[in-house]
Amino acid sequence: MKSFPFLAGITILSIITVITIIGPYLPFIDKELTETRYVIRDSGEIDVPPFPPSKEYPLGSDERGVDLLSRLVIGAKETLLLVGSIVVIRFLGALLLGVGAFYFRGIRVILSIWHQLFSYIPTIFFVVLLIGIPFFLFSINRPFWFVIILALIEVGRVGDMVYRLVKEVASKPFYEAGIVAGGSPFGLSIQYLFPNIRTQLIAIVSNELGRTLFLLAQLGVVGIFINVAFENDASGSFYIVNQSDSWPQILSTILKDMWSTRIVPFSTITVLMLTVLSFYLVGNGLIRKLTKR
Amino acid sequence: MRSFILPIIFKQLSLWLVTTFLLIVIIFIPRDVIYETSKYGDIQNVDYDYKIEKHIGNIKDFFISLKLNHGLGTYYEGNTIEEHIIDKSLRSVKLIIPALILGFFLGILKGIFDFVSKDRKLGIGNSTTWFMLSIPDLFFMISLQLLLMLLYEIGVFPHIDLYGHEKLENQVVCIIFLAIYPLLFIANMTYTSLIEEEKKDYILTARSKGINRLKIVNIHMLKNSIQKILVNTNTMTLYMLSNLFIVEFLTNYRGAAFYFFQAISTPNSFTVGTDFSMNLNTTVGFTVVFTVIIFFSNAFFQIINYWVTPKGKGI
Repeated sequence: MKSFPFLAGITILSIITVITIIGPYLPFIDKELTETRYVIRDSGEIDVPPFPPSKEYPLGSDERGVDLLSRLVIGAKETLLLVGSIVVIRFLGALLLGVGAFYFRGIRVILSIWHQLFSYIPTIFFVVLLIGIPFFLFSINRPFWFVIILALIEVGRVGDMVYRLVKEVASKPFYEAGIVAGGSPFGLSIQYLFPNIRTQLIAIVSNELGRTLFLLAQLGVVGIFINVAFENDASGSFYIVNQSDSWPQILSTILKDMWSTRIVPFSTITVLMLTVLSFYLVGNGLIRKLTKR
Repeated sequence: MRSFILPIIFKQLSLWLVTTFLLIVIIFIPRDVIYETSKYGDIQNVDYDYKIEKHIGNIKDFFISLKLNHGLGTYYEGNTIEEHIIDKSLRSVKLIIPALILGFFLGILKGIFDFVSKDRKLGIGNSTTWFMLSIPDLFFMISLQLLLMLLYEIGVFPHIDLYGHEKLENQVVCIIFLAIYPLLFIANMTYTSLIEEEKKDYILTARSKGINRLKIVNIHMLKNSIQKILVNTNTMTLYMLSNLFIVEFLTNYRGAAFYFFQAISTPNSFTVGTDFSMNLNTTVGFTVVFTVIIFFSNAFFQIINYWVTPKGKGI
């Protein structure tokens, strides 16, 4: 019974994963996310979106007439990929910097500058500040840069956590024994460090997954788009429009939706919440399993 | 005593100076683009080239204009940018300080409560804390807003103004929103460090003597675990400032975060000749404000840390 939270986490996470993979092929999911601007009823009346929940639209539609359930299902893949790649890059960078900082003075200096610089202004402002530079704005690889920026801004903070962990382990007698036995930094790290910090590392990863998803949601709310296209109108001006299907982008119309279609932000946030919750549950469960032995 | 506080402040101050300088360098990254148009005048391509001379020139220009204008310049109708920044920042500081203090102390209380009640089968201990930590703050804010509206509609609750910044009730609602994250974060930290502390021998000794659990926590454990809590206060402040922006955005509270965002965000449409540069002087001003807030919060918690650290155990 004690592992119930872990099982619950695994269940939620696997449901999300299964939906991500097979969801787009389900019959009631509209893969193309077609916009329906109006529907003419048999009685001759015209319905305009947002459509309320019905047989055709299980969760209703957004204001452009796109089925909300389809949007959530289609968006899952992009969201998970985005969060996953950000956290993987950040975590690997942090591991390299954190462990490296313990052995090399130069890396320690880089790490502390990086950590300091980005801990003096909230991340969300930094992202807005950097993503607005025309180089990123007009880059065809904007999603790639977006991931890199989000990963690197917080690499210092996570690297610092890893550095502290390493320092703590290394101050223990058994580690000194390893040094005396003539271990190289690499060998020492593998044999002495990692077995002792792996639970904390799992905690870091599950926290980072959750945090990154939060940050993406915040960016979605203020309308910072991950992937953009430029559409021009007749006057010759170009509009920067969202091209991403990911969940956080559904929140970009939240201020309007609060008054018309509450189900849109609410269902999105519920899905986000379940995902974050499953990350935490699985992380905590893994930690418990590892510490038991 | 005082001679120990000064080095803390001095160290934080120099860190602040270095980071603010680095941030200003980032702010002045040139943002001008070259539009390539066809013979009909429509945009074919937008080119961007980073030139280091231009970057340095931008920074130099800023300091020259600072000198010439004796300040950051005019904001709107005779108001200087400084007045604008100070006015809006004070508005936000009114939220930040109460929220930080509320979150910090209530968080420690909640952490202690979680710790003391962890073996009871109430189901409201630490599990609630991290369950709530995994709910996006957005969800709290929107749910609370909708709930208050609903309660007013059915008539069980007085009318509360949820949008704006003029009234006291606006501030109270925003402070509650803002304090949620620090509270949960600190509660979780407190709980984890208390659990870690619990395994130590001196606690076992105290427990074997039959001392009440709450007393052990208050007298022995809290003092030792508070250092670990204080280490993470920077993260807490940072996240709260991130949230500040969302809170101001969702409640129409026109404070520093809202205007800062306005200064740094880029236009969402463009034609030939659209300038992508930010409102640089305002941006610099708000950047300084935010870094100063973090400087004060860091210095404050560092001093508390010094206070509570037992002598000879300094970090």
